[in-house]
Amino acid sequence: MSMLLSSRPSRRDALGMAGAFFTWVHAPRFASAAGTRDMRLLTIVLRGALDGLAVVPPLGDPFYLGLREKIALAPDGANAALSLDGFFYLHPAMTELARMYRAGDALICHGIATGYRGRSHFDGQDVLESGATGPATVDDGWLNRFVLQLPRGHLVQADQVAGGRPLLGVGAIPPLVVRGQAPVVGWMSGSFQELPRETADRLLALYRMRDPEFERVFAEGMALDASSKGGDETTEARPKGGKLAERMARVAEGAARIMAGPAGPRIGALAFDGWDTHAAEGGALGRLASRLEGLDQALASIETAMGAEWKNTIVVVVTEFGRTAHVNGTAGTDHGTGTVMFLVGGGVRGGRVVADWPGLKGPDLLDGRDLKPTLDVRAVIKGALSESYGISDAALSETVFPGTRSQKPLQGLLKA
Amino acid sequence: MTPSKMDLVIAKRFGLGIRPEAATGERPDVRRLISDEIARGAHLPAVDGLLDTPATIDLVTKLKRAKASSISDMGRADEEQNPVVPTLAPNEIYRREAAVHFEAASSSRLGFAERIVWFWTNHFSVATGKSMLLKALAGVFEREVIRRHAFGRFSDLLIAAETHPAMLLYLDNQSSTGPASPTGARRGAGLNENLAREILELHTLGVHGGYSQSDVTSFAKVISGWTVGGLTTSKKSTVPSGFIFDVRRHEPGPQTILGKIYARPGIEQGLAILVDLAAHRSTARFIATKLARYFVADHPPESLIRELEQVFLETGGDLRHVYTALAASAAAITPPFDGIIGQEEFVVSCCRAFDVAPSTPLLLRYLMELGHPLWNPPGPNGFSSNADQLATPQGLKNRLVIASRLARSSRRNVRPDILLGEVAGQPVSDETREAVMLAESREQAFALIAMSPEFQRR
Repeated sequence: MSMLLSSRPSRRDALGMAGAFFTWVHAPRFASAAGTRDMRLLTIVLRGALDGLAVVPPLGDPFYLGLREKIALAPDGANAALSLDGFFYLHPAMTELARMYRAGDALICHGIATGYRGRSHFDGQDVLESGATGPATVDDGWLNRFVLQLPRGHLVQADQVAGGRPLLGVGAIPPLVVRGQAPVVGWMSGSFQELPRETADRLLALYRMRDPEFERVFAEGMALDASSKGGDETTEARPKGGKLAERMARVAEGAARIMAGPAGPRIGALAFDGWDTHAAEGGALGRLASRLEGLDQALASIETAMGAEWKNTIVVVVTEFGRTAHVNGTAGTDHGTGTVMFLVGGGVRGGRVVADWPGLKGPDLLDGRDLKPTLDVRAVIKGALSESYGISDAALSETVFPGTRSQKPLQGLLKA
Repeated sequence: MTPSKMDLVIAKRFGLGIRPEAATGERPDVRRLISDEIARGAHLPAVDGLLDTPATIDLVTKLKRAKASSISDMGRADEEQNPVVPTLAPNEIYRREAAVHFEAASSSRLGFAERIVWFWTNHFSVATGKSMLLKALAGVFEREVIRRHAFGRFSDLLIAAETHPAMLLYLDNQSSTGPASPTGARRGAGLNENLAREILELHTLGVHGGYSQSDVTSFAKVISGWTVGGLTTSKKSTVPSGFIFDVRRHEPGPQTILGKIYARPGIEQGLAILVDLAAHRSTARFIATKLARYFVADHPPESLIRELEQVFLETGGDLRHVYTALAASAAAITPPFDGIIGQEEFVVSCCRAFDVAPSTPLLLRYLMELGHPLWNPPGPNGFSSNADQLATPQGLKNRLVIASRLARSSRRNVRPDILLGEVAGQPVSDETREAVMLAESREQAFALIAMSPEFQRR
């Protein structure tokens, strides 16, 4: 009798064993110090320079209309923008974010940027994710350095000897923001092809007999896959919107499911591309609007997937820089500076727009073209980290975001 | 080990699997295939539609010029939208270059020469993600620098790499300006040390090779002025496209690197340093170690490294001799086989084993899914070939998905156990043979073959 046939595990067995391993590896250790809320922190990097003036149009600014012309949004009529506070509005594609805003779960920062003033995506993203003062300075991310600053025994802290991995990096290569010395577990949405279950089972059985290292690794991969789907593939809610929105929502949902689990990594990062709208950007409808719908659905999926953990969740949505205030000759916008940033989650003290509005009058534009940044991304993130994890100012200003001693963390970003 | 077992190990460690047609009748002499490929090198026959470096730079600059002039008409949006200025050209160049790259790998008899090319492209990494120009240049860099010199002297390869526009742009040397140079003194523009550092750290001596920070700075001064012409969108420029030496940015005067004074004028100063770096003991050691890791084992025996280092030094860096020594070494066929084949090797080896030829965009997509986007590593130290970087939960899962897709499109009418015997890198175990024979379909059998330890491990 062939050993293979008689010992072929059911899928449940395979997952059970793999799930047990996964749990052991990620078992949270309880903190002794203060800051004992079991936070979930997910960073979404929007690659390509998100047009902040399109997502959160300042309809109350008298110069907005003249700058944005044919792609301008309107406070009324068909596809009207959604009012936030009567001055700032929200792009009509982002109905979920608007709902979260009204519920006090979304905080919007405007006129914000990193310290970087060049206009290269490559370097801008490097600065955004590395948290350094300039590009090509360090090759790890601020989230990773932050995890290393947490006290030993903290919920999130990994015991590297046991193989714990506190950080989730979504994508074929984990985003830079999450890379570094602290171990990262990688995951990708299976939207490009479903894992052939039958073959996977047989492969696992073969590895069990022939290659213990492959067995361990492959089993973990299958467990992550199952964990991201919540174990029941038939009842996945179908998000509204086109294929793009669906894909984005699925990625976010999977990441959130993994992080929401009692033994899952508490800190994660994922990236969405495609925000570089040099041509045919569109106004209330069009290229950017479709992608914003996807981002909106992604945020809603995270909220749903986090479930009871949403009240302790912070989602940080950032981009490397903004876009020109003017529309260009191809109905799009070019690289700029000031833009928007979101903090979304049940843990956020939201329902407001944080901005030191520089205005859109000609002389008030940076280099005569860009929204001037009056807030720094790092000050906001430092505030969020310090309030939610009780991490020291020194650690934040020297290690997590080196060279930011003079930047005071923003206070009062989170609910008590 | 029997001759046939040795062949399996060598074909896996040094090649991409023996092409099915070559495996008719007599088993081919693998060692002979290797020496043939070393002798022949990695040149490609001329292909229509590929541009040389100057033409590539010109094309991208022309596009930038066109785009700049359309944007400068800012002010009024037109009644109908302006036609979008095509930025597809760099992408199309990339696709064509990738097609040629994959075709060479797919059609080679054993694939040793191709893996040598991949090794050096990875060693002298540039990244397409940096800019549209780099996206267009990465392929021609591989053809004109790596293919031309990978089977010659290391010093020639090094000089060609460090003077190529792709490298100068990727590591930001094009605007590096000596502080005491005419431009530096006037404008206060400064040095960029990136290229100098990476030449020492990643391309020659290695991080423990015995250089200091002051060597880096001095070297940066020597190569200040090594820049790229043909980038400006101003129509008045007459500067040729390609490497140029801008004496106005060059730091004048002698510099001391690794205790030796270099006082030659102009570009000769830097070339002299590169020649000396190429002959340095640390460089021999560094290259020997990297080659041993890439082909034989993640932790190769010291004896192998020392042997390759010796050959490198004694032959003045003649790489063919180093490759010959590598393939003939005892370590080449010695266990343990606990390394794992790299991402590109995996995809290409599967295609050769299953005799499938996916389109270039699909191949690029597969590599992207495996975290190894072609010519776009996350940093100048390239992609890792270590088992612990490759055998990850996500990685193995993705490999299975890709293997299944490739298996599904295979028309090869061979019994799975026979295919397994052809492509295994070690003697086939009973368990694997049984798993393959009991598969419920030929597709599933092929996928299991591709994921088996005998296929994956080297």
